[in-house]
Amino acid sequence: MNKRAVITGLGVVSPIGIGAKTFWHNALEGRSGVTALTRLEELPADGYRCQVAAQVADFDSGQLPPAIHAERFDRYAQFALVAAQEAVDDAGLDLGREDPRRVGVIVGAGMGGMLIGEEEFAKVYRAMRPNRVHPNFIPMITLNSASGIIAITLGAKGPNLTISTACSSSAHAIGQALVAIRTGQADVVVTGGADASLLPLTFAGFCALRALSTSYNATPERASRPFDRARDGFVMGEGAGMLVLESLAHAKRRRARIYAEVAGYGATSEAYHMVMPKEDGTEMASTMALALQDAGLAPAQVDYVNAHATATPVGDPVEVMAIRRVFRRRADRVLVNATKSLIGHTLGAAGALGAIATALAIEHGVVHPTVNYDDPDPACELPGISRQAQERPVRAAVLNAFGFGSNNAAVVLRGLPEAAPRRRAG
Amino acid sequence: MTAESAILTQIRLALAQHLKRDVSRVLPEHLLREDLGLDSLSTLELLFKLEEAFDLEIPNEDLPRLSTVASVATYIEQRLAAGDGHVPDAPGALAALASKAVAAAGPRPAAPRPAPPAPRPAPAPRSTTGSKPPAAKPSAAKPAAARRATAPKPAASKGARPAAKAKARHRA
Repeated sequence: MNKRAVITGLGVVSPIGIGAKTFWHNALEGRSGVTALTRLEELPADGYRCQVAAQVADFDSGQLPPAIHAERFDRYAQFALVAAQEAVDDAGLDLGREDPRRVGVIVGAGMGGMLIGEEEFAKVYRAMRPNRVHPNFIPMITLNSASGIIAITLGAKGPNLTISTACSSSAHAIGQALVAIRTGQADVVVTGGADASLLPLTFAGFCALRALSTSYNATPERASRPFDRARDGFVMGEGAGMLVLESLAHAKRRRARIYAEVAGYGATSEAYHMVMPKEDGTEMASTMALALQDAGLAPAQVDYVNAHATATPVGDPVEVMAIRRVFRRRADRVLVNATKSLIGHTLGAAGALGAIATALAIEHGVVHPTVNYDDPDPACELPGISRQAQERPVRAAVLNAFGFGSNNAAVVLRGLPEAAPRRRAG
Repeated sequence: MTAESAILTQIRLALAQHLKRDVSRVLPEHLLREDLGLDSLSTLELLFKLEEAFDLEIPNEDLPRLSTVASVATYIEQRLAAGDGHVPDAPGALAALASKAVAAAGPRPAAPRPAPPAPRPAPAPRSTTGSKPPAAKPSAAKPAAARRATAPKPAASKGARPAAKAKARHRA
């Protein structure tokens, strides 16, 4: 029989705050983390079509223990490690009292450690001096650097994996963590994801896809507009979201505080197109339905959808079509929001930060606002989307994440009676 | 033939070569997506080649205007008439760029832009046209071309540099 998995710890590094409490407080207030992008590393940003981004402010890698040699790790891995440490502390998890082989780390990363690739390029391609490439090149650029350093730092000897499915990476990571616990491969999995891709070449690559918002460069906080008629593309963000997932039995044994259960997971490929979703929403709907089926829940039992909703002209309507297809008449009653309206699209962290917003919604009975939802686009309008925070008990919720590569994930979270009593957000 | 018609012809030739169909089957009124089967990535690739060939930047807000073959040509003509960009030097330059493996051209005399990057052949899109990238290899994709003056990296860096970069990313 499958074991059940619950969330017992949260950690956040985000454009609206470092720390889960700060993140949640600012999310409920509808604070936008999108600001003007003036530099990308050492280069000025004025040549770029898009000049806004959701940046993490005041991140101090000096807080990491010196033994880790933070300078050997890309910013994305530093984010992940800080968030992982917060989540483990929040869970009250003491690795010294655990069998380390039963504690795994499964982290999502979309772009990962690209910076050193961009920087070292010139030594080989321009200067023709390959032996001057820095020895940290490979350790910094390898996509599993975050999951590696987290496991090393925690002393976690269980399965150590990096999941990379572009925009859905950390949703898939959480799903795979659920699978690891269900199948008894681990009792605890530190999971989530991170990315920090505001880099000269990488950011230019996203600009070249014409997928980023370019019409709001003068008013950055208005740029990320999921579901709004005047949306014109997504805003890139950076950050990390980490969660401690453990088996229900394990959590109860150590009297851990439970935020929510991860009750279901759907992972599918649309088998359609590298960057475009299937326009009729049938594929997204099928992923959501699969997750609900896996959770043993009917749409009638779901109160909230944390949407993928990147604010691209094409993507938002497709997702709403999918929500209508799955929920039918209930689609007009379920609460829906777009975390990306606040923090932009954090790529490898997106699913995890959405999951954290969902877990906190379940715990507190309130769903954060979708900002910039000023003029609803009829093509993707739902009564459950609001510019205000919405208070309602959330029994169960669906988190969506749809990635480049025709890659979809949906995760179902459910509140448990055993969990801490619902209380107002601080 | 006037210069304007030449541009429309060039664009039709480039599309025909890209789609591996006869130019007589690429008509000015054809919609890029519905009639010629260009998916979103192929459309972006076409626009990129046009930007390269005509030394233009096409902003996102102009993209909705580029729906048919003729509208693309009209757009280019209007931009040229407004003094933006310039007509490619060689007559077949645009058609030559129709190949998927774009040759990294050197900097044009008048254009203070960085040279195009060493391209990878794009993966074959899952479009209905069934077109595949030609076998041609990227030619002379060497980085000898001019870079912006702000490109900062000195060649012989010491080992400490990545540490400095990591600190620089604190964004304090």
